[in-house]
Amino acid sequence: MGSRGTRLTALAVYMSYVFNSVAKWNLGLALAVPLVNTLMVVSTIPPSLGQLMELLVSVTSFFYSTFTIVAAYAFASDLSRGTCTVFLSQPLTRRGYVVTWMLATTVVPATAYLLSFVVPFVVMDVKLLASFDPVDFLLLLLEGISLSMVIFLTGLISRRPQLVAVVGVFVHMILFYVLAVAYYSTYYYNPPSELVAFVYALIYPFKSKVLYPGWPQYAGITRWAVLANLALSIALVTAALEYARRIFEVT
Amino acid sequence: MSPVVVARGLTKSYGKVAALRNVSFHIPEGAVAGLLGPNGSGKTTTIKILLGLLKRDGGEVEVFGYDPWLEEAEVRRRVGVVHEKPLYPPDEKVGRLLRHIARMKGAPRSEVGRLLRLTGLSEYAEAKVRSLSRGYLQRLGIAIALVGDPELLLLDEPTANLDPGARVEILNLIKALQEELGATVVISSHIIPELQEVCSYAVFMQEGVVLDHGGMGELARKYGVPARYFVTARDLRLLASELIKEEFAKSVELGDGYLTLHVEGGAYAAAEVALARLAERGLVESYEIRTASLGELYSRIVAR
Repeated sequence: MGSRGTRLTALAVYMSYVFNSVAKWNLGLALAVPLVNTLMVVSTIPPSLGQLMELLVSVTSFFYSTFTIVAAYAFASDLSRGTCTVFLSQPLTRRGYVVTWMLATTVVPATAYLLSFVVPFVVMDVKLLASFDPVDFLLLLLEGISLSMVIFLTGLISRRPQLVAVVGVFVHMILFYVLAVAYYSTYYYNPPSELVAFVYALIYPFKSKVLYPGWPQYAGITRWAVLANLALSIALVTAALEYARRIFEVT
Repeated sequence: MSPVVVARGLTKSYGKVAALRNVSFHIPEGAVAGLLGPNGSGKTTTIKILLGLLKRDGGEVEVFGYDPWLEEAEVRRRVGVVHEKPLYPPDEKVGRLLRHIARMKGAPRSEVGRLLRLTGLSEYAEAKVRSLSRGYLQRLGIAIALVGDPELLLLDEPTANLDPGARVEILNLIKALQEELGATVVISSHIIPELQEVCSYAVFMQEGVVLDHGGMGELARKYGVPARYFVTARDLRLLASELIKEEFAKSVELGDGYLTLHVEGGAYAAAEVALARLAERGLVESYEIRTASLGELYSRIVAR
């Protein structure tokens, strides 16, 4: 087998290893949460699509946040304990290793997140999907990936699982509520501050649209915030790959 | 023989602490090279740089002609390694872990069974890694290192934390493997006497500096330390009776198809003249310095 072939084989085998052993529970949850959501939706039947979305967002976000944090924690533990050395001593590149974990901690959970919204609609009435704005799906993926990337990069650079947990809880839970409070405190008397609206939409493009639709005059701001989020996500992924190529050492 | 490993002016620091300072050495193909020095001399850092796990700050390094930092996968495809303090996934089964590694290296599945037998791990194939003792973890490390028949083995303190019995066992295993595979082997250790029987080449390090390196014969001559010649002949008893009369001969031991001649430091010239003379008479078929006293070399080079 040539060197390129060996490299690709090593990457594929390591991906299957991580997905099978480390992220097994993650995939399990990816199947379980849509099921829970479906049961919940079928049993409660909220009066409107908006209320249904709010219900799904609040329940699913909790599961999603938890398993992105735990996956990133497992990644940082692999680095801090040194178990990564066993696999990185094989024909697996440092970049391949980082990409594998990036997929396990960002794309897989984000896809599971997306599925947990789609499945209940498909089960209830597939036509309901047509009333769901496809942009929302993109926002949902974007939000999931950018938040997970922040946590993932924290793990990659610091190699400290505890710090990953703290940052994870902060971006997924604390910051979300801090911004919600800031949003409502300004919204109570006047339209919310443009800056708060922008920051909120930048960090949580999906939740800000679904939970706090905002004022019509902020549509432009929201669009810019979403573009900024997209740019941020691309920058974070590029930073992780370049870090792996140039700086990442296995100590 | 062409060198498998070449390091020129290698430097590496951890913050303000210099781990390697202008390190230069090479390791010829087929050698069993000891990377020798006290704790903190830079042996582990050197091995990790050779494997592309650490980035050098300066200098050049080549393994099989590749830069390990930039062409890491190509280097690791041809190298097997046992790390100093290996940590394997504790909940993984021994056999399953080896199967994954074999697949990563593109080795056939049958190789896993062979390596399990070779390292005495067959009955632990279904055991979880966490249940293995230190000695068996070291065996697992060696089994992993041997996957894919590597051309170069890097063994970082392979006998560390083992009891004396397990140490001898692991060293014998390494020796047998080198003879069977013919691979180049680099063994780092701070326990000098245990490498006496396996090394044909040595790199002496201290505080991040390579003090000297070379083949055992070359170093023995340079530092005038006692050495052992490996001599083959048709009539070993006759040869032994001739050699024992010589002043330079400290002792002569008869082995199975060979003879070991112990020579005092500084008496090589006399020994080699005598061996050449005996070869002309047809009493000696071949001779070479098998090993010099590593302990003596270490005390002259490192502990001076």
